[in-house]
Amino acid sequence: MLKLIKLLAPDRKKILFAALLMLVYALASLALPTIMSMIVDNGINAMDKSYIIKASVVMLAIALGGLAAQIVAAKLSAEIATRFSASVRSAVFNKVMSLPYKRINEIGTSALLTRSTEDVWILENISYMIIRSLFVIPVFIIGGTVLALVRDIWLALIMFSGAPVLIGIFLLLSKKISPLWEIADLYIDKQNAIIKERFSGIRVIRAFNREARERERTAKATKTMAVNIIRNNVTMNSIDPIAMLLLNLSTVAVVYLGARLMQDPAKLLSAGDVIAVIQYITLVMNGMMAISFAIAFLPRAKVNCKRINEVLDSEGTPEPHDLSEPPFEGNISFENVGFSYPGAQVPALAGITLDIRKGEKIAFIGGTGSGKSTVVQLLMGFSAPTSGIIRFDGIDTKSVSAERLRQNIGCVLQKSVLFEGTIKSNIALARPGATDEEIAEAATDAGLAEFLANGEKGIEHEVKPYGTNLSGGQKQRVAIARALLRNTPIYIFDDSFSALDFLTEAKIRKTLAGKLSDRTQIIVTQRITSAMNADKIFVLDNGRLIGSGKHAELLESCGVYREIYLSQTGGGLK
Amino acid sequence: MKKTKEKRGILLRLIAETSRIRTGMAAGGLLALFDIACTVVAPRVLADIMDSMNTFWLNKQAGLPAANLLETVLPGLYLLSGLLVGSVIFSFFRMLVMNNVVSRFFTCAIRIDMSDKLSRLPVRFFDNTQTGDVLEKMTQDVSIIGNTVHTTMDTIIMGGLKIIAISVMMFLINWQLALFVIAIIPVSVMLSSVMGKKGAKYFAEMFDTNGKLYTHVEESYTGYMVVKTFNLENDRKNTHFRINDKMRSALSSGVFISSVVQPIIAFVNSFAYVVICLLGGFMAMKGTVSVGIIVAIVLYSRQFAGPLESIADGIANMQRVKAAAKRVYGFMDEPELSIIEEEMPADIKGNISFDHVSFSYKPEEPLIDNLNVEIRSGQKVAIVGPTGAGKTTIVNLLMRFYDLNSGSISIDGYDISRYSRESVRRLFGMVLQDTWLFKGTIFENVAYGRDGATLEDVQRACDSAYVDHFINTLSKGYETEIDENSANISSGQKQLLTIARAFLADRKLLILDEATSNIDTRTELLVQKAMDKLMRGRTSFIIAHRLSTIVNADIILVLNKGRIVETGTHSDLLARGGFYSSLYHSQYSI
Repeated sequence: MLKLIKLLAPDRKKILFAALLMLVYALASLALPTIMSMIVDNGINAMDKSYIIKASVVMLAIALGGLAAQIVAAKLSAEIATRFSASVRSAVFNKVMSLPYKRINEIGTSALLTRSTEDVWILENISYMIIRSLFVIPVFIIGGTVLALVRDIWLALIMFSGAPVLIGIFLLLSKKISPLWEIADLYIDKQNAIIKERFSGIRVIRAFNREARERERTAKATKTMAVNIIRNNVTMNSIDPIAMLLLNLSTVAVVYLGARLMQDPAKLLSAGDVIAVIQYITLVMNGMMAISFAIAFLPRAKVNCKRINEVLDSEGTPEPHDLSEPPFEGNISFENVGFSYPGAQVPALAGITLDIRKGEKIAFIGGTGSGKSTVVQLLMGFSAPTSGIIRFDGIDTKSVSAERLRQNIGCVLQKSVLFEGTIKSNIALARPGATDEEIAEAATDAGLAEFLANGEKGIEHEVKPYGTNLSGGQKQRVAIARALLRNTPIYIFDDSFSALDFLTEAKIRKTLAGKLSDRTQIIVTQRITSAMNADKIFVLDNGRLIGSGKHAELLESCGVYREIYLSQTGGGLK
Repeated sequence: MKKTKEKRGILLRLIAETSRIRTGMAAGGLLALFDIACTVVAPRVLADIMDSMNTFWLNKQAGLPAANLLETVLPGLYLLSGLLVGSVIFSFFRMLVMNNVVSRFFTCAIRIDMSDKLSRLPVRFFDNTQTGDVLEKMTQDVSIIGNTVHTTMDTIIMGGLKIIAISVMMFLINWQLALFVIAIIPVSVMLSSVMGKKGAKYFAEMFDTNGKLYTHVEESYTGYMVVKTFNLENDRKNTHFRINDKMRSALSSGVFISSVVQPIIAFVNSFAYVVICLLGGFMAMKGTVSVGIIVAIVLYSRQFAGPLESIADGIANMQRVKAAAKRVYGFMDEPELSIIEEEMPADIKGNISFDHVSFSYKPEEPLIDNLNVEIRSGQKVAIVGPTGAGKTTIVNLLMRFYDLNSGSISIDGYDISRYSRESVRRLFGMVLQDTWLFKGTIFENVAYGRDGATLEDVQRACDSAYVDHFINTLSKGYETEIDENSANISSGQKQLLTIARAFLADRKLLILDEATSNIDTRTELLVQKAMDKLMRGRTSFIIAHRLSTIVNADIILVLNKGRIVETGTHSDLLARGGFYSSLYHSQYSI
């Protein structure tokens, strides 16, 4: 946690000032009941009108001072806390953007997302709470106690006796509550999962006439959920009555003890004193509640900080220094290349040796788990081979930055991710400074012309976050257009036509064949029709290269290739 | 005009809804009354005790003989403890009762009603609605409605009663001070609601930017590969910084304003406190009030502010409830499926005829126009077309997921639209490409195909679907837990399980959807074998991707952009040289 607190360092003076102001406020709050008891004793009982007026003016001034202090402190703490959370948020995001692919996979996208958003929010809330209460609460507790002590030691003790009980009960309940919340969330998730299934499986459910079963399943989950929510709410809402009970009991005890003490001829305790102590009880108890609250929060904050630090402490990739080197020509060679995922028993790729010449059209084919995607990962510099050497134009990739590799490869990834914006902005991101004509040309080449002509806004067609408003085929075509705009010596199409129908695919492939005739093209696919016309086909199976050559040759020589071919065409193709 | 009427309608409907928990609410109300009575009487009792103490002290100082103070105050003290403890007990039980009543009999009942409603909605609703929308209505919106019952009870009813009771008590004690308190305290409440609204503006802005930021971060992370591929890191960082900073400034203002509300209220209360001390002090000197009365009024003025604040909150909350209730009722009012009692005969041969069938999802986009096809028992019908051509439309119509615009589909001469949907569906077995498996065991998932299927039935079906062997290799066999995203079972095996389901159901008519991708070649061969076996002796509709299926079909329906453009056999269609033949050639001869 300390590491993150260092981010607060630039605001050190502000924090101190805010704390000072809150102190002023706390003292002001304690002063009011004190003065009131003085009014009773020295004003009313002494029949001194001018004393009452003077004291009232002083009270009002103190109240105003307290208000002013609170307002300025609020402004400062809001600024400090939000600036703190903003800088943590930026730091986490920037770090993630520079993390290597391996680390991203280790932590996982959704975990990273939580760390960059929710975790920071919780931290923000906690920091705000701490800034506002850290210095104030002790003042309330200590000040209240001192003021009570001045009047009578027994009254002070009584006042305090309720506090430990309150803290104990509070901590006990808060410990109980957080697992309860988890359980309640779990049951909400269970109900929601059933509803989700009812949506995704609506046709199957109706086909088998199973609505009654689904209704029962939902009702059962909903009822369990209700019971858990009740248990939760009741536990949580018990805190208030318990605190009230203790407060009330302390009040009664103070009054009783006050009466007893007053009866003692030796004691000088007045009614005003008792009235003041009764009011301190509330202030002290509130302080205690706030402290217990903060203590209950701390373990959670610790977990948050740990999760955030796990990201911040990860090693990022170094800045590349070879981006101004001239582009590659497009020759690629693998020399006995192997790759294993960390902890995996079986290598994802092993002993791959192959040669790709400038301008060749290459296809990698294989089923799931054959190692096709790993080949793309290695080529794009997302991972480095664990054995063997990959060379671009004879240069070992170990001496080339991943950024430079990517600068030379127009890659259409398996998953075409689009960003919020327009079709145009999604294509243009591939090459800053591309002209409108170039963008339009890339869109046309990727088969988007018809789609764009139909819409009102053409290429400025809106793209919703994650591209949810486009079909898989449309997204894929935008991804192709953006790779084309990049204008690189090497192109990789990783399963890039899977969402396109055969007519569209054929049309785009024809355009590509013309436009990219002098570039190296690598097509990664499990569709036989996408691979069969390549200059050279590499067949991968379980991480090994088990065949290479042209379609006709492989049909003869490679059993796996023939099997894929038969399963996909049913043998109807000659 | 109409809008306000509608809103009032929603509130009335919501109030009517609470009749489910009339008794519980009454019990809660009764407990609330006791609670209030205790809370309101306590300061008055304390005032008398304080007076006795002050008199005792004055006498003590003046050296006058004093009665036994403890004896004087003890009865009052007993009463005070009784009242204070009583109020806590009543409020605890009220909380307990209300929580149980609301969650058990109100929100839960509404949720179950909504779940039942889902069963009566047409498939069209499911196709056009995001699951998240319905989930939000079922969880969040219903929660909001449930919470409102709590807050209405706590604030508006309880708070209102409390305010009245406190006012009465104060007037009984001293009308001048009472009048002052009643005049000044609402000022703080007004101030806080004004500030709250101002703060809400910033918070709305903050939530809006936060949503944008979240999207940006999620896009950047899920699109990590794309970001890296095109070296967009700095671009993403800069945008993040911009949105983050915008959010920070909105948040800072919002937090500031909302944290100023409380001090301002506290100040107004302090002001009231000072004035009570001042005025009360003068009156006390004149002897019209006692010190105890001043203390009581101070305590009452504190009790007075609380309920007023929460009433203001409660009223602000009403806007949210209206919005939530509107969404929930919007869902409950969705048009339902019509109910037909008459059942289709179960024993059929399987001749199907499409007679002048026309259909469209949207009126302005006619899809199927005057389709006439005769299919004889046992024939195979291949449905072919590019991706997104609407091949599932035929399934939707056959299974009566959607109703025709005109024309009729009949099975053995029985027009399917005249019989209950359930009885029509009972004739079909169905294997879709989206293999739908629910969270449960393999046995449960396959047994879904037929009521009361035994383990032997399920095993036999799985054996026919060539998946029995695989299941037996799992350590828990048929008791293995699976769900939609199960990693312990491949997509090809999921296909086989749904085929087993269809074997178990053993229906005369069959709908098959061939998977396009992501199945390894060996399982793919099994899937094909299983499907071929399943089709034997059944009238089958196949959404076909494999050439051999298409070539061997008795009838091919060719779709493009949702329309059926051609029908015929493979050789007929090739000879025609139309869309089918260009599709065929593009696919197999690039």
